[in-house]
Amino acid sequence: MSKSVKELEQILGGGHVIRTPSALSSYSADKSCLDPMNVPICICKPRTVEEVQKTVEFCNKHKIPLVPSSSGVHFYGRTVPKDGGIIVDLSEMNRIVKFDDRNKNATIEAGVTFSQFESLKEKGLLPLFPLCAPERKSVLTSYLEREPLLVPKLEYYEPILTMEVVLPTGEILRTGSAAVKPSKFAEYVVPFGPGLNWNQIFQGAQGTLGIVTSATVKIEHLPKLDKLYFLSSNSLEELVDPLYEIQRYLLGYECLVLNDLDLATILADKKSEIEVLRRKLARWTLIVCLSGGVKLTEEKLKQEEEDFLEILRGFRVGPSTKLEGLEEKVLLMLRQSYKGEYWKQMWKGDFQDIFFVTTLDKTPHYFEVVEKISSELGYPMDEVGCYIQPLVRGGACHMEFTLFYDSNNDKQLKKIKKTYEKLVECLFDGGAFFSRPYGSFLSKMTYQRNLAYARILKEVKEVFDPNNIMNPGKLCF
Amino acid sequence: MPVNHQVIYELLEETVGPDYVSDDPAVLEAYSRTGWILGRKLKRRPGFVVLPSSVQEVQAIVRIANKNKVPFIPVGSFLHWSCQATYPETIILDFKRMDKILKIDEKNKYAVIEPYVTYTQLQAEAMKRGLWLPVPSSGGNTSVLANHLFCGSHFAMHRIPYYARAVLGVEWVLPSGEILKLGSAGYGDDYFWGEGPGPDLRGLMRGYVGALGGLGVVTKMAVRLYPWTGPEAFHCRGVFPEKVVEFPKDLAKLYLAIFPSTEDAVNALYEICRAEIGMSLHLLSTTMAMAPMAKSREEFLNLLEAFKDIKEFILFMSFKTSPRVMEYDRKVLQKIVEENRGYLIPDEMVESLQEGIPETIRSAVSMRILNPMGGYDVFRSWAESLDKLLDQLKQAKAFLEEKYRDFIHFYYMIPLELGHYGHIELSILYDPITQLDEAMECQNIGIRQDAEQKMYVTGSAGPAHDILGPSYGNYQLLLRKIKKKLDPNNVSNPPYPIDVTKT
Repeated sequence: MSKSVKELEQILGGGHVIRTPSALSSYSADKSCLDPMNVPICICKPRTVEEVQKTVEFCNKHKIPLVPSSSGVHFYGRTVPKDGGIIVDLSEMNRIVKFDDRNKNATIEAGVTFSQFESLKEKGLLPLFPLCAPERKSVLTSYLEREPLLVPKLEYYEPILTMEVVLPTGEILRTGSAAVKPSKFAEYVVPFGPGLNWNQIFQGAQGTLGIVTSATVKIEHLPKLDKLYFLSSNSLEELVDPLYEIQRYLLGYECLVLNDLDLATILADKKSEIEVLRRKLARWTLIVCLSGGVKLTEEKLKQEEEDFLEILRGFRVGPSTKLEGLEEKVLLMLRQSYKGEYWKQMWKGDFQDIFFVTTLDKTPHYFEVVEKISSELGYPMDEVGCYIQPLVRGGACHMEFTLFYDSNNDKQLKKIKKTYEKLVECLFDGGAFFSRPYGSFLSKMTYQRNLAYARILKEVKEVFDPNNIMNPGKLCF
Repeated sequence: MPVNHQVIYELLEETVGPDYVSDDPAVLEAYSRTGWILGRKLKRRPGFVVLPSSVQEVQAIVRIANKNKVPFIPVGSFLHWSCQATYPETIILDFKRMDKILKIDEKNKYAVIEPYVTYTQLQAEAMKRGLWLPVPSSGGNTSVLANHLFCGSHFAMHRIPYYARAVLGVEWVLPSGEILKLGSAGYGDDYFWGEGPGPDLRGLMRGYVGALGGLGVVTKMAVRLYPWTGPEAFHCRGVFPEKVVEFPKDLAKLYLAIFPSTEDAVNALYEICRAEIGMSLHLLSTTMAMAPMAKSREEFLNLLEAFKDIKEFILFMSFKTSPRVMEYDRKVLQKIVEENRGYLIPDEMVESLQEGIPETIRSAVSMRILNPMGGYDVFRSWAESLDKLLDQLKQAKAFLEEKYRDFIHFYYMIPLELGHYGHIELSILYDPITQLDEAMECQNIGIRQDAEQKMYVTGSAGPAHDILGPSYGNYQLLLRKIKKKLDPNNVSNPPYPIDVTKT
């Protein structure tokens, strides 16, 4: 192995192949508690696509597993080297290559973080944010892994336009109209083709089919005027119909529902504030940001507001512009990454997420399932966070439960694993669709229950990665 | 192994029953060419036509094809030339018996359909429930499933994404006969979501256009529907092209704007997208705007003469997506048109076009494009940023004007997904009796020019992949490997999505 490392050092330069025990240890596990840790051989930090190609070619030639990693933080086991091998850390490929105000896009390298990306706001542009993403999280990883975005516009569930991918053979595939690169007739913004929809194939693949080194992604113009509305209720069911109506009339930008624990944890500046804030909040809060857009902004906001208030007339829960003086903080929550220690770690140190795609009308049922199972297993329901993100104008939604715990407490750790597995099983049996199955427990269950899908995935994997070097052990590979 | 026609016939008969399989030459002749005029030259009779009624029958037919090494072609509305047999003894699967809307979920805005459900059929049912989906330019009688797999463009793509984005859960018979279910459909009867688990295999079904039956048969699909604030039904009088449709005036409004230059018009398109107003937005050449209005060639030529000083229009349609939105749309549009040196044509002058809105919604006025000349085809079709599309358009128009002066050409440009990119088609109108060969030659030159100049083509399929591939990063090599892997016997509508007999 040391021979391999030496060869890699020749390819990348000595300072870009790292083997210090602390570095190896930091890549051997992440914040998830589900899968065993494993130590990589080394960490490579390429700076250019050519260096990525050479690294991949080297690994392919010697059949050494490699795991791409772009973010500074990891929570779902995606980058833990299950079969050992090399970590290809893309964090030094972190240029915002260009942004285009006229065509509403930006070209970014894989290592660009949300913290960097939000600097576009200074130029009057709005990056598309998931809820309070960690500041060190790679934008591209988040989009590739289909993390839900806060604006449920019809076309926003796929924010990637085109990509540059280093295939497991070391060759480059450019997706969409980036295929014609270089061309004086293209700005590389069309997501479909050539031939197939390659973008979709690489999404959700956890780096098992290739390394995405850069992409052109959608951005928006920062609205010049915003107004937040809140619908608060102690019953999730009461918020579902208003939510459908808001989405039906294509009103507003950001729109989401949080339970009191998640909302308090996000808005609290320190741990001790969580309980205080929580006591002020209703059990559920629906947040909608009406926007004045960029033209005749006051008239736009007036039109949206009048329509919004009209369509919500008659519902049991009325909208309010006030939320215990937290309004400004909520707007910040929607339009930037989360600074410092990740909010889900603030309360107890660790967390385990369970998320799936469903429809809005089924969310109260799934909440009841979680309530029932948690209480049966002795996990207190008031320690479960919940976030509901409408997708594609309310046609579906992302539902996310967060179990907070302290990993230094063995008893809690054992309980969390048991609770997690039981909950996943029951939700799965009840029809929850786990479109992003992370961790071996969930991925095994997901693919065993759809064997044809797993078989075709394996065939596709064989086409792309005949030597199975890319992040082996993930998904069903 | 030589193909035994009679053996295959008997196996198909056993599968679907004697009434639903045919090798009668008169029947086969009807399946030998599609609605696409250029496809007339490619005419070839298939070996069998079979009408399955269930996914199990489709599986059995696909297995018969594999066992006997004969191709099969799933067809929808039989428009595109990829539905035509290219090999002897081809089995055509016609889905006329699988024409049911299986479910409409009003709350979550989607429908689950079988392959032969048409846009008119689905739209009529959806509108009763406060939902709709725009009809594609190929017309309301097009198969929803086939069009969502193949093209999926429609008049409202400015606001409602291209239908490639609207495919949800899918049931798919692979070239081997095995059933693959995508998204939530893989875990029960709920088809509300299409991606995953993990990598999104909908990516194998389609790029800008689809695999064209080259990777199996989709037998069930959920498609997204959109909120509809209009009437439950349209009341019509008369017969096409004199048909009149009743329509509430406050549901949608159409505007036409003219600009001193195409650059000004494109700047206005960008601003409209930036303001996020409207449902439908096009930059149309006058020839394109007039073609659907004319009921005959004479009328068309007269209209062109009357409007000869106007080169192109922006056509903007505002929809009542929420109670007050149309008033805001109007004010912003007016401001944008003025800021870009344009002129909004007075309402009274566009009244006759306004009356065409319901037809646009229900049956697609683009079908009228055949009225003036009898023949029409897309010469070039690209997608890119609006600015780059304008560069491409200028160059291709100059070529047509120099080399093919006999064709009347027209174009339209649509911003997609509120201007993140756009689509353009430059088409030719021709007489199919006297100008067919020339039209085919013109189109073949077009695809080679796209490859040479590295313009991004939307409609690449079959042989075009090998022409474009070397200029497009050699994606065709990967595509060929996928076809070989999923269809080792090369029975699923060869040579689509790509010819695997080439190396």
